[in-house]
Amino acid sequence: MDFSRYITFTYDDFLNDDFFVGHIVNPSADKTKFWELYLEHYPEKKSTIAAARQFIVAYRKQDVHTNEVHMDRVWEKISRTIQMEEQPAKKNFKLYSFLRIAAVLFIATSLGLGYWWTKKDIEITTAFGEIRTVILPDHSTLILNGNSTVTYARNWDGVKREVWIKGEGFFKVQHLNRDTLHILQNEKFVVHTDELDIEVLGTSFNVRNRHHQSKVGLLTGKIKISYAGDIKKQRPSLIMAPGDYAVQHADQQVKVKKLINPELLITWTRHQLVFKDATLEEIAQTLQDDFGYKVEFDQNISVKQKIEGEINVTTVDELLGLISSTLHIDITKNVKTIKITPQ
Amino acid sequence: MADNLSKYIIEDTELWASFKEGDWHAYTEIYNRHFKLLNNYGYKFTKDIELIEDSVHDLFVKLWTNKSNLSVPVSVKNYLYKSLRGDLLRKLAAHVRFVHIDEDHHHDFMFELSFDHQIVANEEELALQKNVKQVIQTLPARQQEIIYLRFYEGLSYEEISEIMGITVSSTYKLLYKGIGNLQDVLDVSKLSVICLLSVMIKGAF
Repeated sequence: MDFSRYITFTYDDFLNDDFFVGHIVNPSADKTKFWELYLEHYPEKKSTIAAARQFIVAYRKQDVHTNEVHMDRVWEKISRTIQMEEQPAKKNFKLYSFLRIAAVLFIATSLGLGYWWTKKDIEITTAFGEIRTVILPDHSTLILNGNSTVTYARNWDGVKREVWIKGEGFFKVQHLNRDTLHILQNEKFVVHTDELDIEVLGTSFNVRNRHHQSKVGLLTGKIKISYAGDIKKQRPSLIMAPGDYAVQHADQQVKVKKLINPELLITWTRHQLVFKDATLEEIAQTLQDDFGYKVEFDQNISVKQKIEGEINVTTVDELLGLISSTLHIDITKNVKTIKITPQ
Repeated sequence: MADNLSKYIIEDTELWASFKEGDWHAYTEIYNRHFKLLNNYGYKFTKDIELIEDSVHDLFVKLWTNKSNLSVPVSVKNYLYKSLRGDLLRKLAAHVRFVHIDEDHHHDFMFELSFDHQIVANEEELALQKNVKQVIQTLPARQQEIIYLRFYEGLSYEEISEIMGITVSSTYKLLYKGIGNLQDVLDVSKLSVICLLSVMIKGAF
């Protein structure tokens, strides 16, 4: 340890020294050791150091005014102001959606029934627990999960390829563009959820749109996400790379994280029920959303309890059996109701 | 200089990066971690709590509105301190009819602290505290502020100069002036050598 610097130090010098002050403001074992050793070597400095330290300690014993009592109140005010400032933007979204629907209706009704019939969109809805493969007009494929709806135009000649989805679907999109730097309008493929517009170029990705929340996981290729109805592009778009997983809530922006196993997102397409470190709550949600079960929990059951590790089964019965034996709880299934009680 | 020994699992800068992307929960946590600190700092400039709250409010609303244009600061706390300081002083200046501009183009402001509510161990400590208070209170506001940021917040010269908007050399000079006569006034020779206060004050947070 090098004490040379501190040999001729005065009271003022110590107060001016970062290391000395740091030792008092943010003490640590190492620093304390240093100064103890220093005093062993230079005991004549004891009074100077003591005085310097004493000043700092006395100074730090000052009154504190944190205004903690008003912390919540001020936060509420901040939230309100932000909400009010974001309102006008929301209004624009709604207006745009309305205009878009109005325009479609207007065109549809004014061109006569026959033309309207051929122009009518295709809408496919799956039952609970049903997994259906849909071939889209450009030969892209979509595997649609249970309790989901997809809507798209019957004919995609010369128009932008567009699909609207509610629920969950795994898309495998054909490349149409010849030049990746200059993609023409009709080479784009756009998937719309309630909250997001997902622009793709030729790629495979999973979209989950349930409970006013859109989640997009990219497996291969590249996609761009922007906000539904945001024509003026007031909010920045997001480019996703393979392994990225974007989650969006109705009021908030998109948050992207990297998935270690993105392929877990699409195990449902192979009729596999796969969960990794899932809570009872999450599993129940899937049973409800995709299979239409009503799950009832006894009040003594904690829904937040996790099943550590990976679950990979093909039937609901298998899943329930596994949960039951792992968590030591009773599960009874009756047609469409599942009851979970303690043993 | 400050080691930033974090008591949190998630660092401030991580929270900031998330908040910038629009994560409301990260934004809330930033507020929760810094509200008390900011109010305590603000109280040095004014006793007007509502004005401090206004500044905190304006600061955080502006942060959220401009989040996509922000970069990630080296220290979130210092960044917030600097922003609050600027806003609060502007608000205070607006209240004053005649504004005095000193050579560094800063408005006059006050910086005050108090020692009224502290429990003192013995007579000697009480005397020392009284002396410290007396000395500090005679110093100009900027010197008082530098002493505060250095000995209470544990900030380096660079960090202090950044927050106060002055050069690092000015910071050195001002601090030197501030503590220049401390030793004489505090009558160091009369202090007990053994009296090393073992109770380390880690701050109120």
